[in-house]
Amino acid sequence: MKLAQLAYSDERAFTLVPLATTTLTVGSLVSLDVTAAGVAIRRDAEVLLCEPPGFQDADWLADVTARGAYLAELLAVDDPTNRNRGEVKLRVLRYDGVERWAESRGVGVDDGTVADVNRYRRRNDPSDAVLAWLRSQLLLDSPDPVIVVAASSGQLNGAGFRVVGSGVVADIALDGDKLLIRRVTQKPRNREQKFVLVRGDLEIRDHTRVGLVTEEDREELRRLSSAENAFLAIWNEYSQLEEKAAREAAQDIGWAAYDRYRILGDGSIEFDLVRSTQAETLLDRVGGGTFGLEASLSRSFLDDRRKPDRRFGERARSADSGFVIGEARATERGTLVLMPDREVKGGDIPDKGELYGVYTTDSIRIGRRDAAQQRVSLARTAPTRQLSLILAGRRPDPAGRLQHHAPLSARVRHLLGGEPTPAQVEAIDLAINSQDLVLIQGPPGTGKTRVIAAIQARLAELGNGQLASNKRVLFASYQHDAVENLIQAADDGALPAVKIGSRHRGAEDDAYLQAWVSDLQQRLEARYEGEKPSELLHQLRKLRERATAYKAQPFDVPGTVDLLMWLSATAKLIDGAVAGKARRLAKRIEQELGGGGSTRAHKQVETLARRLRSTPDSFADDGRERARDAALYTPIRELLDDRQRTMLDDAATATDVHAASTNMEIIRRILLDKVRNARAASSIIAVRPEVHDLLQRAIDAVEAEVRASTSDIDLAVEDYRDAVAHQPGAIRKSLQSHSRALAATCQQSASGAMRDAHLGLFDTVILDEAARANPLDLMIPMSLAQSRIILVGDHRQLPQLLDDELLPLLSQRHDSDVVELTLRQSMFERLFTTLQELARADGHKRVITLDRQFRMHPTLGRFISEQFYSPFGEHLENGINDPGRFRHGLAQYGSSACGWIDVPASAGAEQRVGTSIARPAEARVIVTELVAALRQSDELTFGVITFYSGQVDEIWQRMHEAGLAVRNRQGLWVTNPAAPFLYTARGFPRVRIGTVDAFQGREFDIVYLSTTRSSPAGARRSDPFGFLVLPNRVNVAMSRQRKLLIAVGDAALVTSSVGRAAVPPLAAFHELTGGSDGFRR
Amino acid sequence: MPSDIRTGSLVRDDTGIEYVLGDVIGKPGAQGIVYRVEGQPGFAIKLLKRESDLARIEAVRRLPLDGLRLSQPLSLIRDGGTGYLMPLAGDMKPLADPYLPREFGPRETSGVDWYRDTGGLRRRLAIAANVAQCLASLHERGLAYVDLNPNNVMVSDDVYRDDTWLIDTDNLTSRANPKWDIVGFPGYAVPERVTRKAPPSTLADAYTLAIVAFRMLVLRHPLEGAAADALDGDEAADAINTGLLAYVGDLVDDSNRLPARSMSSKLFELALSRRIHGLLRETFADGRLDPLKRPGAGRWRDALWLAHDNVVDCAARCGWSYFRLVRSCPACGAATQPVVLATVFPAWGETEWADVDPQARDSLTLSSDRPTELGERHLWGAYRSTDPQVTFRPVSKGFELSASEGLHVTDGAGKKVARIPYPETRKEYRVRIEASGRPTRTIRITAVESR
Repeated sequence: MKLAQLAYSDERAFTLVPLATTTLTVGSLVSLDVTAAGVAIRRDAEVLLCEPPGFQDADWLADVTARGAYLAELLAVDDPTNRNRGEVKLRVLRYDGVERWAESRGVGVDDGTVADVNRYRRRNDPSDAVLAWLRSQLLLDSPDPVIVVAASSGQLNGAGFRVVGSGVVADIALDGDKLLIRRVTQKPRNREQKFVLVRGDLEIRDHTRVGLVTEEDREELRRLSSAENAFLAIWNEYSQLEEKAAREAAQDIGWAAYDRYRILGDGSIEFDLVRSTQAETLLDRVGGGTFGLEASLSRSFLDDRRKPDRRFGERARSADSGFVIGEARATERGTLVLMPDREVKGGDIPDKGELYGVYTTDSIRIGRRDAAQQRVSLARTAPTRQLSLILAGRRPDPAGRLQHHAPLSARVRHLLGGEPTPAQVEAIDLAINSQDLVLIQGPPGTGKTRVIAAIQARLAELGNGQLASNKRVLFASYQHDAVENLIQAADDGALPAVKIGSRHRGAEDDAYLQAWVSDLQQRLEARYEGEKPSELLHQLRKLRERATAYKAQPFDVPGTVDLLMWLSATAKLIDGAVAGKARRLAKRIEQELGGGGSTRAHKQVETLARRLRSTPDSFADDGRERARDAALYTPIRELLDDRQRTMLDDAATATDVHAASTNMEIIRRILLDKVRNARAASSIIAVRPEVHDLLQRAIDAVEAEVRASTSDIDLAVEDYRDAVAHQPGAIRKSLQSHSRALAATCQQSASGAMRDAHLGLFDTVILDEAARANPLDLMIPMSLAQSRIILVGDHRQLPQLLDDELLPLLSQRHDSDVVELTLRQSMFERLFTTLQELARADGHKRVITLDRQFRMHPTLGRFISEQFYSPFGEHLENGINDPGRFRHGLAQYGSSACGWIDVPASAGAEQRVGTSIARPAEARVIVTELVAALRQSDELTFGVITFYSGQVDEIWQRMHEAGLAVRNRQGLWVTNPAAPFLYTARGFPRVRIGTVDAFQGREFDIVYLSTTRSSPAGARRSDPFGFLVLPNRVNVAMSRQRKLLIAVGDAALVTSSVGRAAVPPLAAFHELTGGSDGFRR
Repeated sequence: MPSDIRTGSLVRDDTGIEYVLGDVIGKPGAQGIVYRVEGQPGFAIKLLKRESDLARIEAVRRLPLDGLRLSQPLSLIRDGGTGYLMPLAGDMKPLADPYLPREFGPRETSGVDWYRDTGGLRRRLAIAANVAQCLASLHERGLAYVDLNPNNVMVSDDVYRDDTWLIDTDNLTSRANPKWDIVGFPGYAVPERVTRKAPPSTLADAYTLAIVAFRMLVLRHPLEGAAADALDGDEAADAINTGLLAYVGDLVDDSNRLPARSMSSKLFELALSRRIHGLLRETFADGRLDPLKRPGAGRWRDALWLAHDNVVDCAARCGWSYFRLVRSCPACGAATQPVVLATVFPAWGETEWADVDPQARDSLTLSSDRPTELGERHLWGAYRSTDPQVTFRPVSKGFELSASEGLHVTDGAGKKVARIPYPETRKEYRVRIEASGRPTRTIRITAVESR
């Protein structure tokens, strides 16, 4: 703050006459001694004597200086030797009191202050930026330590005081034994305010949790959270193995050099390849399809130095280090067209370089992981600070002062639908009030997507009035499908969340956004369709587009003819002359240069022409036949005029061989010349001046019409319609900047596209299916959270996906048990258990289990809770206790909620299929049961679940035999589209068959679970089920149904001592089926 | 032709398209000037000095020349000038000074580096083979090219490529109706034409072709030895053009040997394969004055390609390429590494073939840096298509095989082969190539060391 901005009670300016020269500098603070003899201006040892001011001023000045409550600033000094009389100008500020502090006082800024300032400024700055801003607002920009305090706001040494800054006031109060800035508000405007001058130093200190971290602390954390942390170390090694495999794959794809590129209208890039065998090979490989390729100065897998800077995950902007990745296709011209995964401008990538198998994505993937880990260990934000403390096995910082927001609002109630459960309310409460991390465990059917939507809506309400980008939420999940589900689920009724980044070939990636845009488009269409000005402008734009296109890239002969015909139709209503000319020109070009049209016709014309006999002797031999062959070929007739046709026709029956052979020589030349011209015209593509002139004339005519009949409003509406209809990118961009939520996969949370859409951190990061993400990937969105991270998942359901080929490699280097344990444990689970223990210790709750399920029959719900959650101290209640609401109405199963259909070992043993197993006996039983159940109901849905892919195939095969399944074009099994009873009234399939992995998140009315394992007694191994039947997977398999779960399999095996030990839940389920809600067969 | 035509002038062809003339590419022959075309990198325009020549161009345009790497007239130009449009890749230059030392002038002796920097042995063989291939297919159609000289051969400007086109088709002539007026280009003349004893013929073309190949590879005229050096310039040129001197490599007559220790004499040993030596002797010893004893362009094509396919790159990457049987790099001395050799055999099964096999159709080295393509010429000695039939793509520790459509690459048991490991020394892999309507072939892949 400058002196001029300092608050004061009263001020006056003086002009004094100095009695000597001085070295006092303008702008410095001085002290004044006022006597009758004059005014002494002092600063340090320097004194300047001046003549006294006029009467009234002298009294005022004497009074003020005597009390000491003033500040005097030297505004100007004129050297008295320069003129007749010099001048000194002074500005004196009066205060209502003065106070001196012997030593500087520290006031703290905590997370609450930071939030308050950010709210006031409508920004989302980190604590250091907030501190800098507060200093600039509250402290004087001068070597003399001075602050101004509002006198009315209590005692200076008491519980609190108010510092008056240039534009704001800060209320400072004691918090425990420390002074804290509690509130920052707009400076009041009233003049009645009394101000006290404080001569003393106020030191504004960082007391945020992040600010308390010292550099040594950070270093220690970094060490703990990376190198020495077994959990992350093994994951990092896993990640390196993935990179190595990727590098080898990229090398095998091949490469080509390019020496030029163009960016095409749709944003794709066309590369001219330097012709070489490599290039031909690459073009070959791309073939008629598309292929993921990368372009940069040189193959990225060759040169480790050129990798993107890992510290920031950014790439340098200069063209030579630029690269682009995308889907490439080959053109007929032998160029490659790459549809980049991000927008590329000229100069983003090198002018000459290489195209090759995608590797940078893999190195970027690893780079993003590294960068995220680094960001987390730097602990610049509260959530990352806490995360790294927790990962390092240390206690997280206490949350500090909090403003508590109520979890529920009308909108939230509406989104939750019905009366929310206490756990749901608490989850929302924890989430929106969190200052670091919250984990929400959502067991099956507990309404976790609704909770997510409610959290998003509530955060939006609380951030109301703030810029969207300051209070933005990032939704992330482990894969694209999950992200899309999340977007749908989190729809809070405002602008849709925008998904950033896309899967490789995903056309339906933006389905949600597209639906929104097409809805808008239809409304516009309905409103403006058929209005004349709009139609004219439409036409004009089309004409201009075509004319530009024609000039830039002229058309071949058929294209030119099409263009002229279109022009003729378009111009009809505006300029009849142009329309007629276009039509005639089209006809002429087609006739003269079409040459029979196809290349094959050209060849045939040429062959027939060459066979014509042109010497009397040879004509006499077979000249007539050959003339007739030519005369009968339509393309030849079309190339000749009447006279020439007659010549040819006559030759077929000619008797005068001399005349005829001479004629044939002429005809041959004419035909060959015409074919050659047609070929020339089709091989060279250049502007035809007459076509260009016609286009221009049509544009002129429409422009004149437009001038005569449209207004500015018409123009604006037309532009808007055009944007909505033809510039999806622009609409998307505008949604991106206004939507309160962006969504991406974990990896693409740190993509360039994401940075373009949102620079910097997100207020809140919400991660769904967090237990299924690779921990290193999960760190990426987590590292982007400014205020809070909300992880939603269930570690009792499916864990993260692993590349099983890499596990053995890791086990070679480490204890395989440790590897197994580490890689099978999700980050979610690790955090969940840690935070749960911490909560027991310090009472600060950061984890919550949604404990009421609404999906399943109460008996089944109780079973799931007992089997999969109770052992861990978690508990799952039934939200709906009335079994009557889960009636399935299938007579053969009575009123049961569970059942076991025994397929004893004697019915047939399991069989090995590749690396998996199958049991045809069970498959037969399931399909029979399924068919009967399908035919008895219209709307019930069915899931058939097993743990083994071999059995999935087996069941599909039986379905196929029963006429219920076919293979689609990709060779995958689908339910037979021709059997109507396999589909609901709305056309969705009623039956799904698969392994557990595809089923998390899905629900069905009735589920058949094929246990698959069965072999003759004595042949049984000690662990007959294998790792596919881990409790997590069994949990998912047994919790998909609403009404009825039927296990089909060898009951004797699962109830044997071996079976009980291997998969206790199956044995327990068998027992349950013997109860009142069950049946056995 | 009107004198005001130059770069920037507008001409219009018979099909109604306008062209702006670009830079002058060259003045082949005396009949006209070749221009590039603004905005059309794939085409060139030749404007004729005499309007009367257009009739001849019209006739040439009607000739069946499809599929040849020959800049045939595409459309005729009568508006704004007289001439024709022809296809010509934008980055091609005449095969004159950059590749051949100046005619009978002082020899450029930047020597070894210059030879390497203009593409080395591999590229020179490829260009020569391309010229031979183009002439051979022209001869198959009963046409003689007549005016072969370095100004009419256009090659890629990029030394990593070897695209070759013949331009200036003005003088194409058939045996039935030969034109006598072109006698030949100095330094590339044929004795019977200079002396006007015979009309242009395919055998005269073959003689010029042999000169072009020899000059590209050895940097001298094949008759320009010690005897020629002993004569005055004009006298020597005359003696060479009329074929009065002996061939520098004549087995019996050693009167005209290449000067010892010259670069050419070294290249004479290094750059010519046994087969090429044979063809040269047939052409310049026996066939110099007796056209009927000369080998035709087809034999030159086969010999040049075979030589080309057996060239390897210096293992120390000094940039030189040389025949695989040479023990060390002639330029830097680095030892030749074992090469992977693919040998094409007529059928399947026999194993008693020796290392160098008289039955072998063809053999070629497989590069470990870039894909090697086997074409029709390797498998069946056919030249209809230049599309690769089988491609060996080096990948980590082996080769990936891909075949063109309709071609089956299998092992002995009929299983498709998509990948073969890098053969260890004294180990071999065999694959069987089958295509309907074509003879079955076996390819043996071995690693061989130079001797």
